Amino acid sequence: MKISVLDVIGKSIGISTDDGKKLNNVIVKEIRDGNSVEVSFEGIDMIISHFLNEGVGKLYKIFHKKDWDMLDKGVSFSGLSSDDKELLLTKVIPTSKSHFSDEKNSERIQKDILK
Amino acid sequence: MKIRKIDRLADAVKFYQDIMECDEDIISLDFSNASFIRNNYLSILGLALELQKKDGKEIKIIPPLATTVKNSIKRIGFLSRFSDDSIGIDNNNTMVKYTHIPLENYDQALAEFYMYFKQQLERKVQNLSPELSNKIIQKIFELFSNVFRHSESELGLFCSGQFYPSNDKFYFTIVDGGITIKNNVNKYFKNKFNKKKTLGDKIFGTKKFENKSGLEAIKWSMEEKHSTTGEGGLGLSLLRDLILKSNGVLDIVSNDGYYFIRNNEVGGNILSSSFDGTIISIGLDTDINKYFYLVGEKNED
Repeated sequence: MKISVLDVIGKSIGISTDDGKKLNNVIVKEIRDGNSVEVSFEGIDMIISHFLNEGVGKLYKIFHKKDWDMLDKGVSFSGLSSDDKELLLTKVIPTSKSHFSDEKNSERIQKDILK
Repeated sequence: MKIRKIDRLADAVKFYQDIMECDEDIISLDFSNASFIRNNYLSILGLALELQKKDGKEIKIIPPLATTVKNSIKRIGFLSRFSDDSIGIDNNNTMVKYTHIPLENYDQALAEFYMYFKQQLERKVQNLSPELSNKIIQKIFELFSNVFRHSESELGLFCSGQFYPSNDKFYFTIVDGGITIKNNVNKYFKNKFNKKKTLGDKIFGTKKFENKSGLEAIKWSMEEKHSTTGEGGLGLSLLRDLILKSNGVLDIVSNDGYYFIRNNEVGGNILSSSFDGTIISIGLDTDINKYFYLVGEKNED
């Protein structure tokens, strides 16, 4: 299933939280329907890390860690400049994995202390 | 309040403080004898004026008598914002117009400003490769995004800029009246500190949290992967590198922190009085005889 970011957010720049969430919702729906997803950035002039974090990084919050491998294999990206692809693959996604992994750990530690 | 000259950041911050401390019902800015106004700093005065307007004060601007100075603050759109004067036509496209992007519905306003800013930058700054230019714009918008998400600045963001073709410079200043980098970074570290506290620490209060100074907080946030949201930093490291390599200027004032790059050197101070917000001011060298591009990018010249 190909998802056009331009169609989803209706503008050629990805900056805002709301637009990131719109993209995230569409990707989540397709994955839950069992479809693999190609996220196409064709026609997008500029994106910032916050938008990618909301749109893609938060997938790692929504889906359980055991499904992360499925996410890595089932979601692909096209139409990104090499820099933005690097930003997404080497910063946004790894930072999200680390952040949401730590978040769950720290929540668990807190619960253990409170027991 | 008489304003004769705004040349340095310190001049603008002083007038910001004067405006904020003015307890008259009508705040009058008298530019009549102004000899020079560095227009990028008008965003700082704009924040103070809007804060005072919000508190019910009336703003009165007496325009400069010198035609060049008057035309200049007309063309950037400052005079028309606070007086009945019309906006001047920027025939030479040397201005990045005075812009106030409020917190409410900032999304659409930022999208429109992006188109305008990109066009102005590409017209006037021709010594950057397209890839580097795009990346710089991207980093500037990362900063904008940070302001809207973290600063909790009710009034949003103010910016203005100007190109000086005669000495090949571009100056651009953004300012917000929000939570400041110092408070934001300390809030983040305090949360981390509290999460790590053991039951013993909590009962006996053996460990005390130590706040970072404004300067330490800015320095921390300048590092590429440092972020209070786990998202990857303020986006300033590329700008910092370009400014260091190209003899540019960077000034950041936030709370009691002042960080600067000038003459290829990084410096900073702790200010004796705090600024209730964050100012980021950038000066780029636009001399076309010096061409800048990203490492790994093909230089075709």
